[in-house]
Parts: sequence; C-alpha cells; structure tokens
Amino acid sequence: MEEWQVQPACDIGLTRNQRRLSLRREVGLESAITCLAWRALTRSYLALVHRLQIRGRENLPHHPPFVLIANHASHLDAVVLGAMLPARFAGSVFPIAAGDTFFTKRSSSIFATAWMNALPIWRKNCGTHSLEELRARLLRGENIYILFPEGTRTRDGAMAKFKPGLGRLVAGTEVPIIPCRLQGTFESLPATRSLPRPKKVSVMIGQPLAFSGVSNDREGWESIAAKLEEAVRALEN
Amino acid sequence: MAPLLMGPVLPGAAWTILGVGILSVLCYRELARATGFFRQRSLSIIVVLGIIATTFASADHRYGFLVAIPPLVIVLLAMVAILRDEPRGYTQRVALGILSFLLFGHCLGYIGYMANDPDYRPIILLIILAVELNDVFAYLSGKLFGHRKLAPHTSPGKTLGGALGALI
Repeated sequence: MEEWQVQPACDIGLTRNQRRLSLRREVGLESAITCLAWRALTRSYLALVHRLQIRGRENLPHHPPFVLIANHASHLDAVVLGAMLPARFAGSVFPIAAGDTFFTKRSSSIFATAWMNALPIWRKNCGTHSLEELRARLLRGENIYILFPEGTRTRDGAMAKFKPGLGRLVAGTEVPIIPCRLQGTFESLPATRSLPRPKKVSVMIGQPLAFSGVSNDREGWESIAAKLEEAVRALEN
Repeated sequence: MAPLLMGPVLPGAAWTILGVGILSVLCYRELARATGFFRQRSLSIIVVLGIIATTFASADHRYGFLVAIPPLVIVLLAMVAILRDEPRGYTQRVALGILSFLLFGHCLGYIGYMANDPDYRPIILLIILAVELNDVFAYLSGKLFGHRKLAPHTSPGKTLGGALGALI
C-alpha cells in the first residue's frame, strides 16, 4: 500500500492541443464520464447491429495493468475490445492509435481522445522515447492498453507478422498480455469501406501471457512478438 | 478576465448563479489537477455533486439547504474514502476533498446565493472590481515601492510594498 502524495497531473502545463497529442495525457472526471457514455453507446451498437459474441471472459485480469492485443482488420477492432471490458475500467483503457490516421486533424484527434481515450503512436517516426514513455506509463500500474501488433489493418483478411514494438513495452515485466482473436470485423468494415455492414462479430479471449523472464533487448522483443502472434493464431480455431 | 466574470452578472440572477456554478467546477478542476486529487475519482464525484447541490440551493433560494450541504459533503467524503480500504493517506485525501469543496463549492457558492438579493448586481460587481483593483494596486505599489520580498520561495515576484498596496 503506497503513501498518498501530492502528485500533479502529468500533463499539467500543456495546452489543450499539446495534451491531446501527448503520451502524458491523464484522464479526469469529465473524460471518464465521456468514456463511460462511449462504452454504453458502442456496446448497444455492437449488440444490436453486429450481434457481438464474447468468449473467454474469465481470462481477463481483475485489475490493471494489462495489455489487450488482437489481429487488426478494421477500425471496429478497438471499439470491440474496448466495449467488452467491464465498466469499472472506463477511463483506464487506452487504445494505442495511429497518430497519422487519428491525430493529424483537430476534429479526429478530439474524437479519438475525448471519446475513445486513445493515445497516439506515430508509425513513421516512432522513436525510442515514445515506446519508453508508454512502457513507464504502463508500469505505473493503472492503465490498460489496446494494441494491434501488426501495425496496420489487413487489406486481404490474412493476419500479418507481428512487429516487435510490443515486446519493448512488456519485456522483463509482470504485466500480462491477453491475446484476442477478432472475427467478423474485416467482413463488417474493411479498410476499403467507410460505413460498416451488419455482419456478426465475435471475440475469443485467450489465456494471459507474461514475459518477466525475457530480456529487454531486440532478441527478447522479437521472441515476444513471435509468441504472441502464435497465441493469436491459435485462437482462430 | 474581469469582463468574462462580469458577463453572467448583467443578464440576470439565474445566469449569475449558473456562472458561479461553472466557475466553481472549473476552479476545482484546476486544484484537482495541480494536486493529483482528480485520481480519486469517487471523492471527486462527491465534491462536484456538492458544487452542483450548492448551485441548486442558490437557484432555489434555500439558505437552510445551502448551509446543510458542507457537513453532508464532509461526511460523505469521510465515508467513501474508507471504502477504498487504503488507510495510508486517508487523512490527506479527505482533507484535500474537504478543502476543495469548502473553497470552491461553499465559499464561491455564497457569491451565487447573493444573486437572490434584488440589488445583487452592484454587490457582486463591487466584489469583482475590488479583487481586480487589489491586483492592480499590488502590482503598481510593488513596482514603485517594493524591495523586500514577501515569501520568495512561495511567490518570488511578491514584495512587502506590493502586499501593503493591495491591503490599501
């Protein structure tokens, strides 16, 4: 049990714009309320339009931190993974979203932060500093990340090789990674469409994996990426 | 800033009370972010609900309810903080919650309550003007006569001369 200390918000002093683009952004009461509202809206939508089916809920940890990963086929993926988590995690769930897609325009960055509570990762200029900051934030203990290790949406429905960046976040830590398999999101909303089709969507949640014994270097990250890719592929059946 | 504060006062009492309520929440938000209290979500909700209740009490012209809100909020803060089952730092968390509510909920709430007086406009505008003039006099007398620092570690720019000018 830790002593309570006066610790200002990590994003204090930043302008509104800087806050939206910052990995130091913290969630206050008003953001937690909008996240809860978004969760209620998306759960209703997914239940009614996509008849969302979730299997393996018992594999979800009871408290943060942890990382949810899945195959990536659609913009619906983060919405589905966020909606399946319990309400008590609202405000603690941070989808890691492509900065060049969601954070270049003001309107999309406001939507991504205020409703989806996303944190930006810049795919083309993803420096060491960004991943280290994400790692430090994860290890502080109160955050849940939603990540797609393929790095981009599939264009043909097939799952691509996982990139090693995820390994950098969790190598040598006790933070559990929960592999998930999403089905139906590619058929509903592939990258070529702007509006979703009402197809059935399902999620299979796998057993948590931890990599406390894996070295925090290139070799370790690649082995983590390979193991997680294998875990997600195994959930297909 | 002063014109922005005077804005809700001129149209009417309801706008004044609403403006004070919004100001209270915004001020509380700043303190919560500066101290990290915003991370105590359940306690934050109680403080904000207390501010909203104070605003309603002012709008409904119920003085009895207005003065009953602080002890209710204090008791709720003390009770809910126990439910977290974290005895370390309990006193600090509850104290910060109480201070936040008393400063920005109850004290500012009185300004909103004043709007129930038929002659509220000159009173509230006088308060706003007095605070602004206090700042201006503090700045001017500090520039002209201020040499000795008042509290250099807390506020490096403030001088004894400036503080006396503000008092005048």
